[in-house]
Amino acid sequence: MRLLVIEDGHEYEEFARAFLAGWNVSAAHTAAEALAAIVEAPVARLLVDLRFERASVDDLVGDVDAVAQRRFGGDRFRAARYLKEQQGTLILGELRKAGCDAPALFVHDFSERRLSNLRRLYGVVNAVPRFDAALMQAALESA
Amino acid sequence: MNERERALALRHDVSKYILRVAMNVDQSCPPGLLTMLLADLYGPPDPSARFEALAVGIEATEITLVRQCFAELRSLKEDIGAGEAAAVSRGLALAREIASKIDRLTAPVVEGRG
Repeated sequence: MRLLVIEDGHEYEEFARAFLAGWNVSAAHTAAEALAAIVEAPVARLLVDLRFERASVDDLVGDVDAVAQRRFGGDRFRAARYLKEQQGTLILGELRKAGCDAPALFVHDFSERRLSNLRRLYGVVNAVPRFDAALMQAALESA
Repeated sequence: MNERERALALRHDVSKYILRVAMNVDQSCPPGLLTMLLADLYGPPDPSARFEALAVGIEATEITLVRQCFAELRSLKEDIGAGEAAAVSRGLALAREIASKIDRLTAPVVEGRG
């Protein structure tokens, strides 16, 4: 089964290839790459990084100028940081809009409230707080 | 960055990544994972530097203890890079210690999250 890893670096992909057995791992590093990947071949699960701190502003989902005006008094730096800090969820939103309903797994210590909100917005979403291979494998298999 | 954001950043930027290999192996690291372990322990990005950036102004015993762990890790870098078994084992233990101490340090703030 195909596991699409979405991250701004390579840490999740390395981990998945080393520790998560039974998955055909591929990777995307931007929303555009992720959208292309789901067209290319069916995806069974998504493993999504939350924070895209290394991403180029040009690659981010979200309008930096609009966010700057709406939330940060025109401060584009803070707006870009805000978008980067939740970029994984925004990319997931783009994938859902494109028709991908594969269960998503984040490696992040979300509060219960935030996880519930993500599920309300994006369907099947799970999270584990750390790179715990057994927990991640179980979460991916049970989703 | 407020206190809560800093606590979450310590857990995310330091603990989460330094444990990537260490929490999934026992006392030894298979040769195929050594490069990943080295990246976890030494970067880039350097977890020690990130820790220092986030620890500025925090006065707590755990900060000193984590610094000591990072100092020992630096002293082991060559041996861990060479795959020397005792050094790798100690490196794995130090990674777990660092994460544990950061968890303890940040627990009061993080557990109050909404």
